[in-house]
Amino acid sequence: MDKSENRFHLLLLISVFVVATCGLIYELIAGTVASYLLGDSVTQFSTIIGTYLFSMGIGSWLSRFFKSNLLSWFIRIELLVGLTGGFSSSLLFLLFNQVESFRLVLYALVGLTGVFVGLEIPLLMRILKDRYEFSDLVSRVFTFDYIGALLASLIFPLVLIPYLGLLKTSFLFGILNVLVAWLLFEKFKSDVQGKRIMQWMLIFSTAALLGGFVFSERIMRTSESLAYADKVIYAGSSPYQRLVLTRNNSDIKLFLNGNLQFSSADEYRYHEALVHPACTYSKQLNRVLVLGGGDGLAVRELLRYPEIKSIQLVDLDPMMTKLFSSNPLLLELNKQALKHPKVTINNTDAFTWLRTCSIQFDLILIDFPDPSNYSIGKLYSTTFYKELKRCLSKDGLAVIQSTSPFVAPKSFWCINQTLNEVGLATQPFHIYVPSFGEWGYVLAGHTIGSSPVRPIPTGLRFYTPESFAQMCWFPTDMMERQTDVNRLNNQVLVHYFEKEWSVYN
Amino acid sequence: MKRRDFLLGTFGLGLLAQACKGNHIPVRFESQSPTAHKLRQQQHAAPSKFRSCELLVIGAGIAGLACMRKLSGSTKNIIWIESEQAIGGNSAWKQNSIGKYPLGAHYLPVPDERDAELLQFLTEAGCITAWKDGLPVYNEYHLCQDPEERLFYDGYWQEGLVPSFGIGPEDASEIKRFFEQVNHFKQKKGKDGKDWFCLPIRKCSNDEDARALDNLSFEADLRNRGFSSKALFMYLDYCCKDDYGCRPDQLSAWAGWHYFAARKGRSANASSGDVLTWPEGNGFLVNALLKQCTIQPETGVVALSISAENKSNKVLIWNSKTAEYELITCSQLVLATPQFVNKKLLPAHANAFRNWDYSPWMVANISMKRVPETKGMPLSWDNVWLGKKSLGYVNAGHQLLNPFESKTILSLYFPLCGDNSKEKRKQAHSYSESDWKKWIADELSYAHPGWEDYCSEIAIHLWGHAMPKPRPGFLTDEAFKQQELLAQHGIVLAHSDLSGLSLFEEAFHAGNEAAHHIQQIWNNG
Repeated sequence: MDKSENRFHLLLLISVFVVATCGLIYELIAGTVASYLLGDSVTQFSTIIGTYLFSMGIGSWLSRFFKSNLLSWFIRIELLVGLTGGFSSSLLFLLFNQVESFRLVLYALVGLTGVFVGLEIPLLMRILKDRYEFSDLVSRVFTFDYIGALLASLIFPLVLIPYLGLLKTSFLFGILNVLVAWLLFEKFKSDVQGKRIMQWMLIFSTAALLGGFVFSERIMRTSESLAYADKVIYAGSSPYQRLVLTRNNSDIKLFLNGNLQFSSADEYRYHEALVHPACTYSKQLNRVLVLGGGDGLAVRELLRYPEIKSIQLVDLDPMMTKLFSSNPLLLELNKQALKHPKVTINNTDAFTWLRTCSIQFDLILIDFPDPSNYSIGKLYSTTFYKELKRCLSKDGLAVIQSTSPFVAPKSFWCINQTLNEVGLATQPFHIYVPSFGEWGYVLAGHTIGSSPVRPIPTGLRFYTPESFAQMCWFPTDMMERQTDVNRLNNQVLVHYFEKEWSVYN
Repeated sequence: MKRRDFLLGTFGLGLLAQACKGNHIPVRFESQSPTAHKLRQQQHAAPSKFRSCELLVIGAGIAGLACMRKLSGSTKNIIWIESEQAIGGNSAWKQNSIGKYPLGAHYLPVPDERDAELLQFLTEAGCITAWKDGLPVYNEYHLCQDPEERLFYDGYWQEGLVPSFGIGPEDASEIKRFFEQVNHFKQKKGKDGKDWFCLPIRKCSNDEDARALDNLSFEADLRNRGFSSKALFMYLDYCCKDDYGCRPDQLSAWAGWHYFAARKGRSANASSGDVLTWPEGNGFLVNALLKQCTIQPETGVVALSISAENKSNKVLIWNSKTAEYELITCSQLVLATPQFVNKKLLPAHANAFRNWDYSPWMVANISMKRVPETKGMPLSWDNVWLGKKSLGYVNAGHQLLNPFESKTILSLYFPLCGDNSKEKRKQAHSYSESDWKKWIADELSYAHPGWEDYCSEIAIHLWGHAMPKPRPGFLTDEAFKQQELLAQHGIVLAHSDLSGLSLFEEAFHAGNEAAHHIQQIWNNG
């Protein structure tokens, strides 16, 4: 063999090495993205690897249909591998909350990459077959293939993910694939057909991948997953909202449409304050209504009172109540509250439900999302509170989660004044929840007693009757201010809320 | 297959897919009763049935309904007929699997608190729940919820209907001056102590200065007052079309200013200019009126001709349900029908009826699974664009309180305001479903590209004679004197178009006055 032949061999074998590394990296990326976004890493990795290997098999089988111009085909396939592999993670992140069947996209992409990668080695072996002894060829190619695999599996968790992150890694390896194609193209220009087109394809692919590498931060920012610092363990979309559960050690967080709903580390503060002042000040506690609160955490607190005979929960989203009555982690968190025989769940719109409700309740807990848009703003209007008043028994009490009196004092006091407008007495109060900051509630009723009428249940971690007076005291920066009343035909609350939170954000 | 063929093929398929976009959407005309065209027939068979009554009321639009509400409980023998299957006239409504929707009129501005009769009715209808400091408190479920109005201007939805972004400082100052003029007119009283502008218009001042505004077009008057801002004129063009189905240059200046200056109703929980609205539009008021009537109308029954004789008027009718002709003899007759129909019924008294130019309208109710949004304000009740063929749309589902329901019905309003209404009317009737769909697509794609993917149905309603155009001189009513003659025969007219303004308030009062007239005859007789 002369010198140039030698160089040719070396080049092709380096290609094998790079190609093998890239192939495994794409597989690892797909598995990581899938378990990051969909949770349950064992299932994700196992199905991804299965799909990937099977697709490689399909690729190998397909290689028989390539009869001539093997080198040109090999270069083209390198380009395709580089592009699909390089863009795969970005595509998956971006499509995660855009498409209905994310899994279909995921497996299609994994399959496609697998098919292309599966084509590489058989084609390469056929290119080399006349230049080597068969046994020698098999030995060399597979040696480099497996070395590449080892390298990939080591640098992926140790170097790439910590230092580059998922997106940059995929773009980087996409570029490597394209570089192999460049190298071969430059070396064997004479053997390549359609040089002009090929050259443009190379330029385009390199530019696209380089662009992706440079702008990967921006891509990540537009994708949802950056919003979550922790590992996503569940994500699902209902017709009403997107639910995402994340976990970091023992801390579980629930996000609805990207907004934090609770963190298991401090949710007891929020829910104890929502439930226990109202319960201990309420003369009767037979019938309780919970509007919103499909996580069952408020119900968990309510169930500490044996005197409560029935709890009616109205939450729009069946996906939410179903998740919190089935997921083992969440069942542990809400102590299976939603499955308790006292609890009846109704998955319907709260306004419509309350408007047609003909019974009265001793206690009504309202745990709606913040009034960040006109649709939700209606649930904080005089019209809604008139219906609330109608459904409240003579000595009954209601408590309304009322956003942050620190960040949005006008919004908070607007809710208070809107309740007053319909003739309800109110007692605003606030607490500190580390993951939310200062948080406010309004206790409301036809009348509100001056002292509690029952003791707190045992086992509380935060609330004590003595602390209530302190919660009812508002320092200067959160003090009451005059606002308009929120009505359906003015929706001032949404305007206040938007203004106050936009400054804060 | 060569690669080039393949590429061309896929390109062609793409084009085809683009062209077929929205082809899946079913379009239909709302069913029209078979009676409408019976009136145009020249020859009628001899009646096979005969009835007589003390009072026959023809028409169950708002005027007919208001009249019959007022006469409810009467022991007299009354027959009430309506040519359409659905009652309500311009305020008729329908319902599909998504919800209720209006076919025409869809709101009532908070009325003048001095209008005792209307407020009495609204109280009975549950629209007024209480009184506070001498002012009515309106039912919050009926007051239009916020966000009320948005305007698509320069590719962006802005709040309210008056352009505020994307206009120059001169536009802004003219718009400000325009509304100062409106406020001036709102307060203005004549030497007779009456308001220059109020509702119903027979209560307006007869001041010469005010009436002089009826001698020229709205556009001419605005130019005389030094207005020239393009943004202002675009906005006013929208307003004139919305309320009168014609352009500012076709409209009497008096009517133009009336639109802005007559709405000054006060309330304890709403501001003047706020409106009452329902998913079915004024169909809600139709039902409320009907509920108070002790007699129900016979629908699908059309009056064909009347021979007016003193206290023994003979009316030939055709019943579409039984396909029979019938002759009704009545001592009193209320024509709660538009003037162009009256002319056909009583050709011998044609000069007793106003000679209006009626503008045709098309209202399309578009069922949407979701409204694909563009930048700016979110979906509101009234969603308006300027300088297009249609005026924009009203979200029929706006007043419903299911915040997470994305399905809704959009009622697109499309006035056909040419100079020759007859021609426009003929044209409108000649359009096929697919012609209309093309028009509608042009309008909706302007602000909601990709709307086709979410649309499940389009229902088209054509109003051949939707509303009279109050052209300059419309206040001069020569026909009025001739109506005295009809009254001697016991024939009374009741319709909004007696005034020239197609408004609920006008129709309601016209009906009430007709009822009052009939009651007086009965009391004296």
